[in-house]
Amino acid sequence: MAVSASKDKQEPKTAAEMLQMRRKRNFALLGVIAALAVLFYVITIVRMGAD
Amino acid sequence: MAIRARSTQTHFAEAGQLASAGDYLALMKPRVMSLVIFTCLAGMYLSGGEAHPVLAIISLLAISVGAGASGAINQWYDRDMDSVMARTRSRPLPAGKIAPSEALAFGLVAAALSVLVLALSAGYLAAGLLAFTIFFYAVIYTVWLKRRTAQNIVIGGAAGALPPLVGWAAITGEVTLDSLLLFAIIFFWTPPHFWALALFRHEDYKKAGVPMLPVVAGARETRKQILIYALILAPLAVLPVATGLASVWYGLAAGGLGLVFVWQAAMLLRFGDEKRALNLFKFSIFYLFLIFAGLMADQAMRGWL
Repeated sequence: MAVSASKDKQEPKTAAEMLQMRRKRNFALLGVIAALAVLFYVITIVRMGAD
Repeated sequence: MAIRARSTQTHFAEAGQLASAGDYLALMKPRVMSLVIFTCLAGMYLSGGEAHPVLAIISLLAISVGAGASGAINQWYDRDMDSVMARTRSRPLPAGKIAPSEALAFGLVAAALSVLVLALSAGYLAAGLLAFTIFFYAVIYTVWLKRRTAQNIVIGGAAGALPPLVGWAAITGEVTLDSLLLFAIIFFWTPPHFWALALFRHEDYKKAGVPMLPVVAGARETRKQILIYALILAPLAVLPVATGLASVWYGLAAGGLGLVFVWQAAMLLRFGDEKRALNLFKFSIFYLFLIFAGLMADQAMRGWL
């Protein structure tokens, strides 16, 4: 039962659910880009401090 | 309606829309990544260099992502073989959770970003070594060697052995004899480790058409080669004592572990059962962990004494 439930979660039945998953993934991508911006900022600040 | 829903689902699956964050993590081979993080951290620590802790953490993260990226490109190329083998059948690509084009794009973008971030945080030498590692694993091993020669994991093992060298270079900006020694330990550890796995998975490799040594040369020749590599590895792991990287105490522990490795390989050659191959495979993981943990503990204790 648990396996089938998790499979249902992995494979949405309707287009609306799929669009919701795509939306989630777009937000995850936004998070990655924001994290990279923060990372570059931190590297710059630390390196400027070291120099 | 049912047909329509199914066709929409298939369309989305082809576009990779069914993948979760966990599937992308699986694409990066998290178990291999954890070994890369560990050996890279060891290289960073043993270098004895001084780097800003934030930059060191960012460098470690970049190297880990680089390793994951090469894993993603490897899974993209090997998806046909992975769908045949029991061990790899449930990976995101053969399971249809991620579209091949998405996996390749993910791998290439992650690889480029990891090299770029490492160049900024640790310099061009470390970034160049990371780029070479990714290229070696994704192209030289995966595309060129893996399907062509029984020496695939011997030469390809260089990719897995490079992380401590990259970590060392990230902290000190140089490649030294000691960092090359760490490389050599993993390089000579890789063949007996993977051949032990191949001995009890040889049917899988045969079915997938991978020319692993047990498939091409037979089990006995493989067991002989495992012993030869164990005999090279055991003294090699003691060499850090000679270069001054580790103390005699480490040497004694590494020597003892090496003897166990050689003994297990010799017993495997003599009796040849799959249970001994499985035991050697498990011990090899434990061995590498203890060697690198031992080197770090030894250096930490020398700092205190």
